[in-house]
Amino acid sequence: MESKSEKLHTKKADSGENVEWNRNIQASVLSRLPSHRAFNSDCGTTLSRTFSRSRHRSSFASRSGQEIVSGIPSDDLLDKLGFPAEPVDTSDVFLNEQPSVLNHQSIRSMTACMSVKRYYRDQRYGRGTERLDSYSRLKQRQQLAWQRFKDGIKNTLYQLELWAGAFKIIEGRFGTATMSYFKFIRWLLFLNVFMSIVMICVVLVPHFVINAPSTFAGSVNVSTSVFHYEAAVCTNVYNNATQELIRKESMFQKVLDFLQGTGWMEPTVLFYGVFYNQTYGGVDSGEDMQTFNMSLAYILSTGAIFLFSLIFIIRNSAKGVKAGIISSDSSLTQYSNKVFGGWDFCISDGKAAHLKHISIFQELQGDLQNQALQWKLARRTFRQRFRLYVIRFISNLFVIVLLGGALYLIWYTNEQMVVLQTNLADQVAVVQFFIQFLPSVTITVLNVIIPIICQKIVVIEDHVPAVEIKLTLLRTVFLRLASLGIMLLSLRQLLEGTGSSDANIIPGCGNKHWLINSTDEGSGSIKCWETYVGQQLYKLVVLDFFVVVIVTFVVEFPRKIIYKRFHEKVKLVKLVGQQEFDLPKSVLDIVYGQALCWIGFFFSPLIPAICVVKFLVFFYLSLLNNCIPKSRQYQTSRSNSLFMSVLLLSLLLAVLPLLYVIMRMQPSQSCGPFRLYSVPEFVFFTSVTNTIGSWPSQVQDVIFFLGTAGFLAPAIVICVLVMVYFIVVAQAQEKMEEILQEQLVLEGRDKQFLLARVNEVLMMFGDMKKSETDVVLKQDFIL
Amino acid sequence: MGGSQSRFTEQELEDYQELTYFTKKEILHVWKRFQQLDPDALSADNNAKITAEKIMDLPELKVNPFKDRICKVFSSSGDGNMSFEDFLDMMSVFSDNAPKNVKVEYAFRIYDFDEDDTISSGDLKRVVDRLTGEKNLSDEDMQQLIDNIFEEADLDDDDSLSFAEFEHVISKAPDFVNSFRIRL
Repeated sequence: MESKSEKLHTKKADSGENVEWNRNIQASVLSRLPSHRAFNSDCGTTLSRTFSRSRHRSSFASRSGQEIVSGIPSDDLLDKLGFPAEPVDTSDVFLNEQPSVLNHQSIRSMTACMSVKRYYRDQRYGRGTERLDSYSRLKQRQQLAWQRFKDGIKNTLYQLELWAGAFKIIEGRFGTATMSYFKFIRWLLFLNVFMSIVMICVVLVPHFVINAPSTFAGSVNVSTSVFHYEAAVCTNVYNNATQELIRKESMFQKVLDFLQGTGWMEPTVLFYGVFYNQTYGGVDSGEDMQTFNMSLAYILSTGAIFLFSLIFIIRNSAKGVKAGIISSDSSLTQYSNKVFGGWDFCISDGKAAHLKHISIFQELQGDLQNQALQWKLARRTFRQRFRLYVIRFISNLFVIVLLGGALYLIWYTNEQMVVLQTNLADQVAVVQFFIQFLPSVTITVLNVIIPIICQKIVVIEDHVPAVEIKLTLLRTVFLRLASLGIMLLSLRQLLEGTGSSDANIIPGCGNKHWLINSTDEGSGSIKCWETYVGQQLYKLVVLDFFVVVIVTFVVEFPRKIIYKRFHEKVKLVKLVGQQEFDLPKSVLDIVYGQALCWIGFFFSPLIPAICVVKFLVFFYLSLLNNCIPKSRQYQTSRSNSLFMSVLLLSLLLAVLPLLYVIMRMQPSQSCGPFRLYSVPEFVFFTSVTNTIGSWPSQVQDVIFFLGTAGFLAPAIVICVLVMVYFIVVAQAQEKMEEILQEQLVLEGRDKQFLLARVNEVLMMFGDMKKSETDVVLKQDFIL
Repeated sequence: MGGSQSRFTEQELEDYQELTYFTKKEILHVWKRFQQLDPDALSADNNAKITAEKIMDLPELKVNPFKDRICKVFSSSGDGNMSFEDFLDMMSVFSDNAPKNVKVEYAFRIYDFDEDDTISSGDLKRVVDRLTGEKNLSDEDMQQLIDNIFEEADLDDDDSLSFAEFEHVISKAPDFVNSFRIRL
């Protein structure tokens, strides 16, 4: 009886054991696979890969006999099927590797704990020096010294990092996407500091230091040419008119002038008008008076600033573009990306973590729902699709009309401003003040209203959320930059317009609006158009700054306080909700400010310095965290490339008008470093050509050749060819990737097939063996 | 700062600097934060181990849904208790200077809940559950999500992600490097 129940017992144990047995076999086979062994070794997989690659390259003779990396399982039929193999170190390989493959980076990247790393480091660099010849020892020492030097530099840079503490807090509360926004502000801040330094050093310092003749009249010999005479006269008239204006102003007007840039602000270094070619050099020592060629300095600094900005932007966006191309098939990997890269390890705030959990949940759910919807939509009927396309067409049309209307409105207000200014020339100062600010206010108001409308419209168009965001962004960007462009166009129209058949407007001294009527009342006439343009841009910058500050204090602060106090009690408050941090909009604000800076610094050298102050204030205002992080999280990777591309676009927008101005427009003869003409059709660029003209003739020939069509056409053709080559290479590599992927899939299937066969064989063997061990077990029990 | 500097010899600091991605100042900073977790145990012995609970009290780890896995993976004794060297190792991998391949290897170990060198659907399910926090996806949604991920990543159709497949899919995921960071 005992034996019967025992037999039953052993039988049950048998079947349970059977499953266990099979699982053990499978696990032991899997653990002997080379990939698993490499993974579990001290070096980790990627390091092992480096070694195996280098071993393939080394000659056959020097390969060690033990084929560790290829991992042939022992013949002992997996150690009598009882015990899985110990993961074999590939670290012995590490110790024996040639020094060319190894360096400190390898040690640091080992996936093992510190003591293991230390052991290998000591083994490798401690012992074995007797094996190395003096050259390798020297190289080793050099490597160590270089590593220490680099670490030393990193140490110092780490301390100098601006706002590191603040960034940590932001990261913890808002996550990395918002962090990238603040990093962007900091980067722009440095760019602006660089710009202001250049302008100050090249333009302002000479102006103050070389104080030789303190007025233009003193520095020029009137009898040299008719242009000198004209310049002197015009300057005189302009200065007198400005002094008149300042004298007539009241105290209140003087305050307003600070905001507008007119009146007493006009002849300051803030604007272009006050600079001229100053002379220096020792009269005493008998040398000729040397002139500091302010005009050349001005143009060269402008060119240098744009060039450096371009280089910095391209450097910064190169990384983003690379990542963007690798993940170009982003629709395919979005789920893995969201799951494996979804949690932001920087978050350290409980509330932020909670919000992140919710946002991940909502995003995953939303995406899954979208997927189900898309399957349904793919089976949309023709009628539904037709309807959708009609709706999209109408809404696009509407948006175009809306944008066009907005741009026309801006143009109209610009024109009106001049008309009103002349008509209401004798009105109260405050009215004048408002008229001056009319175009800027229009632009700002439109920039607020139209994005909201666009957001509502895009919902109707029924796109995938990613496309929605991109569309809205595109439209808003277009509006912002186009409004700037229209303003510049209307300015150009004003300053160069041929349509002024108005007999009252008398041109002179390089200015179209030199006199408004023959009695020269003063206000309304533009006697120095560069300063006028500078003033318009200055007004825009000031307005932008004040709008942001005011909005923060008047709208966001109270909203936050009201929400805190009343959101339990008043339902409406809860409905409106808290201010969310709208990342794209904030980025556009910043980029708009930077575009103003780029356009304006030619006409007003101190605008970069103003922008530095503006960005500092923006940063600290944003830090006051009136806003909560947005519930729909924005992805960091896309953010960076977005910022850079919009910035690049605005740089281009800023360069084009300036190019036009420098190449085509005549400077005024009454102000600025370019007031001395040398030919009747003097443009800004002529000063550069004059300078080149004073160089030796061979150099001149080379430089002028560079500008001809004979050079440019082949250059363009070569650039296009290089571009086509790279495009073809990229396409070929994509194809290669597809081929390799298919190969991988097939290899994987092969592996599974083989593993299954191995398992079968082992199980058969195991069954045979098991019957032996069965007897042993039974015997034990009976005993 | 003087106090913490005297706990380590110059040689030890150089050592740590060579073996991790940190500079000396950063190492001392990490020591300061580590010491704050359990000053008594560490006043006697630099290499004392601190229990996992105390480590998970660190503000940067407190809200992390994977904190227990992190402690387990980086602990040299495998039970979650970490000495200073383990902690330094951990912060070094999470720092900005660590290259992507190192981060990917450790991320794989963190996400591999059952430690069988592959991320199976059970592992994935636990990862997603940890990610969504209190609310959980419905069973069908979860299955659909796991299917989607396997479709994207599992190249050899064995219903689990090996390290190579994980690495491949991460190389296409642009957000990973930015999110897999902890700053002390």
